[in-house]
Amino acid sequence: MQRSVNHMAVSDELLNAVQSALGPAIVPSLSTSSASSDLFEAYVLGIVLDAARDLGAQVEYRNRNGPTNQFVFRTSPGFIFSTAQLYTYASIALPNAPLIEAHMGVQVAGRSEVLHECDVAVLPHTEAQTCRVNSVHPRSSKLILAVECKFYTVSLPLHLARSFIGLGVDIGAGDCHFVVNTNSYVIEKLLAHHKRHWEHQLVPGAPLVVGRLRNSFQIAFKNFIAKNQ
Amino acid sequence: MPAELSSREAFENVIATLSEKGLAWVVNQVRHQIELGKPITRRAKELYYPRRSGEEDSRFASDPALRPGREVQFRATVEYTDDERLQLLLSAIQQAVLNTAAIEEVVTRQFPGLTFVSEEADVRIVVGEGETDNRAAALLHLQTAIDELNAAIGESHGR
Repeated sequence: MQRSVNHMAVSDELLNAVQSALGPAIVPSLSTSSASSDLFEAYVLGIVLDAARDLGAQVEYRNRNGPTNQFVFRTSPGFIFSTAQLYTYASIALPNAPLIEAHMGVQVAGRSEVLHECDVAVLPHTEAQTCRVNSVHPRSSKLILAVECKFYTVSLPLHLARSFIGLGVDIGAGDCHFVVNTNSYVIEKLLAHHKRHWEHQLVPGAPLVVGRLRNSFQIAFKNFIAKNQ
Repeated sequence: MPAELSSREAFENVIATLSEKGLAWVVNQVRHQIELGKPITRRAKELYYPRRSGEEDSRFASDPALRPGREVQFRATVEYTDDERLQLLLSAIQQAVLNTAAIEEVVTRQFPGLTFVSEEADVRIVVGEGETDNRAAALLHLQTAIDELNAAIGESHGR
């Protein structure tokens, strides 16, 4: 590879300012790669719920014992029928539509019957309840919305987008979204070429991006309402 | 006069601090990105075999016989410069520390008392409410320091 060399000098003072501010700015338990990813997934779940509320939905938080105000989310993909922990999910009552649920980190069975993790999955309450009662996995054909979330500090590696395209093939690309906090020219080009839903540079300080993503989720809800009227 | 470091030395210093603060995963992602190189687009003239008369097969002619044709866009990869490496690192800190804190603030507002728990309960992360308020001054200092360092790199390129 070609390389051009810069000869920029960095003032010691500026560098020290960055280094000395780093320590007090971080919380060790939240400064791991997995904790950042978990937070990002919860953030995206929040946007899904905001999208539903904007359409007039009532949202109630529940776990397998009933309504709750405790928020317990998964650190790694699990089964919707798991009884290991009292995991929280959101029960969403959209106007003039059957009850639906939003879950974080549950596995769903694709067309091939292979299990896939959905970072955020929205599915009908009937499907979710069927799965909880019978200890079976939700079917991807029943998904109203699925979101693959990626939190990275640099451009996303290409293989993650390739995996997402494969995931879309098996669970149905219809309302499957790929959401990233950074950007990558190559990945965006690939996903756009394959006509996949994607959003990049999603951070709280980017209201346009947040709004665009919320609208995109609302389209999935709107279609669900229309199909069930 | 304040002491100065080259951008390469500054990069290595910040890398050491990140590793020390438990952010080695950020260092790994940045190093991997540097290994992959910087994707760019470059226009180049396609080479082609000129038409020749008679039976002669132009493909067996030597390379100088190739002629430059129309200019088209190609993808290429170049190495990141030292300044760009430092900028990559600063951008990674922005994501890993500052943007994560912003996300943490929104998430704790929406899901107060949020806890992430593994199925086996061997991992339990409690996202404390008001944590970002306690770190607000440090986060602001860090943002200012990163912005100033980025501006200094930008200025040196503008010169």
